[in-house]
Amino acid sequence: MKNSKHDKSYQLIVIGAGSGGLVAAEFGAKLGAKVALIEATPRLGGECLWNGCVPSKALIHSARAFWQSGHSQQIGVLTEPKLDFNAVMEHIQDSMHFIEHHHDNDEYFEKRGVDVFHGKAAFIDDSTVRVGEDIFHGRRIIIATGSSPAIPSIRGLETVSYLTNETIFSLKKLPKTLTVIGGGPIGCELGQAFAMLGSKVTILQSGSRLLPKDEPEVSEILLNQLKEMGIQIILNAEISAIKSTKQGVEISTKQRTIVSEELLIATGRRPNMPTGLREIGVTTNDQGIEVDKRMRTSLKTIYAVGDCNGGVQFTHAAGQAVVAVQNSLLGIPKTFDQSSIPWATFTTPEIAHFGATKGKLDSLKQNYQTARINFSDIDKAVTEKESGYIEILTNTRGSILSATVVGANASEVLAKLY
Amino acid sequence: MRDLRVPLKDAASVMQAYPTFSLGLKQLSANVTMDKMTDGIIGWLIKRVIKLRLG
Repeated sequence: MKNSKHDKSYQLIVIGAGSGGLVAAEFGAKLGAKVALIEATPRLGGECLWNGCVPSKALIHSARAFWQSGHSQQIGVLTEPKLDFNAVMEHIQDSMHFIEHHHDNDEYFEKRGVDVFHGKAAFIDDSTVRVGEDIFHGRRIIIATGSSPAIPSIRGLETVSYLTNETIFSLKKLPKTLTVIGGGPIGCELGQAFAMLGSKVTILQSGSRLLPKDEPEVSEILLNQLKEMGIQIILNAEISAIKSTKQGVEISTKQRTIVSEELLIATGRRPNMPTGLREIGVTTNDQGIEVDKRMRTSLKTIYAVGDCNGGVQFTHAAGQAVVAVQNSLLGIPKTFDQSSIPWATFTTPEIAHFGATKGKLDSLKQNYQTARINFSDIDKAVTEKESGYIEILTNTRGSILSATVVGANASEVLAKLY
Repeated sequence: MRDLRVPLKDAASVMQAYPTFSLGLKQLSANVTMDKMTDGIIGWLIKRVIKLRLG
């Protein structure tokens, strides 16, 4: 790490060392540019490594193993599994630290020609940022500051202790009861994982279905699966108040009142904005920093990638970073196509999708043909007692428009199509 | 045999991927493509373009 008090000049400054920032910095340096990477926290990796994909997938792996070992009577396996929750949390920590030591650390990036600095960046003008007492001059700047949990405005929420994806992986004991506000991917994945581990879970969803961005059929399948596992789901939930009681957190909804030991808020994301951004004239809105398809902000020297620009909020949308690097360093007019980016929700059953949904194609009045196979027609799935389906929508010439896979290893199957 | 390299735009888009094993293969292809791209005369040309554009 550099600690010089002098002004520093770079061809490219990247602010934020999450998925987008790390890709931008490494790619820029690989192309031969002089690159500075500035990260507000003491460690690299961002939301995905420390609060998102990695810890959640590690938790889900333990949860599925525990659940399956206790629910394998149909295939002749009778066991009474025991849970060591501390060991589950250690597995999560080990996974994160392995990745940190393997490639998400200062030394790894400095070896690849990136100068890494830690501190909060504040914009001074369209090519200058301050970090503590250091002044950084950059011919081009890429902002990749990510996002944080969006906390809804609910009466009494501020008076109770609640979890988010930033704190849930630090739990010391398995909650007996857990209420999740939010029925999107984070709420469903974490809610189901804790239910598999033995918590009594309730999911409150303000809309009429879970996973509203997926096909309605997918939402229905997941809803039934979660209910079958004993998870209480309240759709169209209208929460009127939240308060703390001796038994835990009391959540009052129009439908009923729930008391639970822990409360998880999973109601979406809000963009992280660097200090001084608006003051220097970068246009922002409620979703984040405004960018065009080339990831350019309203100032020609500044680009914004990842969650902070309010576009698709996935780790793998870090491909935006490469588009920004190509535009900023080489002047190649590359654009980022958000329309067919894949996503996966690691519930059981697993769900994976890319492209427009049927509803979207219908609204565009686009003709499409449906090709579908159910897992009951796939011998391997039958032998493993897995249910689900693969459905591909094509245009009239047979070109793939979109695909949905539901069932075991859905994310891996989708990768073969994308 | 299929060439392990992928077009640059694809290499770019799969440098980071959602957590699956399959996409590790695409990432491998991307890395190979990047190494080829930044070696030799093409790499030299890219560096010249950056130098000329950004000083």
